[in-house]
Amino acid sequence: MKILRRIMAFPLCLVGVLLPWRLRVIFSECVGWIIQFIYMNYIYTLRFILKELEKAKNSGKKQ
Amino acid sequence: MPGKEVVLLYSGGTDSTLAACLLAEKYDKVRLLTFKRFGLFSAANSLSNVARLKARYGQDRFSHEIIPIDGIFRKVSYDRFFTNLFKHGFFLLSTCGLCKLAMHVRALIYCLEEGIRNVSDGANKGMNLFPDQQPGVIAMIRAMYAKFGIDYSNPVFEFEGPQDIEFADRFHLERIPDLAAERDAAFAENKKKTTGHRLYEMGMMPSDNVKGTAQDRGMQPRCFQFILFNTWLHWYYLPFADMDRYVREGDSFFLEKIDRFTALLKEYRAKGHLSELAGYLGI
Repeated sequence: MKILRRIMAFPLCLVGVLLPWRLRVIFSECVGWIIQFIYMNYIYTLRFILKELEKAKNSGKKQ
Repeated sequence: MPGKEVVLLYSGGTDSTLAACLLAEKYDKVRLLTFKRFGLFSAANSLSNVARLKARYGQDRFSHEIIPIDGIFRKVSYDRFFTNLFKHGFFLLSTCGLCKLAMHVRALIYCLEEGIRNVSDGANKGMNLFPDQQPGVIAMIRAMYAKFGIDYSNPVFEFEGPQDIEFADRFHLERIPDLAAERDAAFAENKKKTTGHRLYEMGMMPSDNVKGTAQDRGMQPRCFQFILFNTWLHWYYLPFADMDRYVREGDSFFLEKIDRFTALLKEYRAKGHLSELAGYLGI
């Protein structure tokens, strides 16, 4: 797992470290927004599932 | 101390806002410096807490300036690039530490120009993964300021870092009572010693831990360059090295950087606008 993480991180770090400063900023922004997108999708999907479970639980109680 | 002024490197976050409060009790005037550059967006967010500070302590007690540091940040990050790349490798991705060093260099120049002898920031021991908030690097920065007759202090360094927001809290779920009680009890004492709690007690914040909330994001600049730093640190470096090694190698990298910029600052003091550094200041 550790090695896999290192292999995944290496290209990102290599590209990041070699880029001139404005391009490094833009590259970080792109990586940041992609991670943000994945994270928000995860959060909102989980929130939706939890809400639906709660609804199902409450309707079960009423019946 | 009548007539005494201090410069504070001010982001607008909880740590630097509490630092501003503590300095306001000690000095007549606190000059808040917020820095902006390409990649560090929404620097004007810091204004929201400046307004709170002025409302609490008085309009005259604080001044606030937003200063660009694009050139100096580029110089700090890319100076002697290939030498540093071969010697320190991915430590060059320590953007947060390098950005803070650029802020210190600019703040030092500000102090020299304005004749101010005291500088502070919101460095906190809870943020010790960032090189600029580690005791070793802080001592080097203090020594750099001292060479120009300026005293550098960290009024909130000994405060505790905030409690991590738990998964259950994020989703407003009920937590397993025993585990939650155990965890909360473990942090209960430290919670009272966080900067957020102190600001909450002073009536400056709506809750005692705003870290990670929308309010937190709305009161300080936004920057995504920590992503590369975190990727390198948590995925590439730390799984194969311990904290001692990280601190040791980071100290060595920053010592060289700080020595280099101390020399450039001395040249700036001697030659002013004709110095190498002046070309990066937009002067």
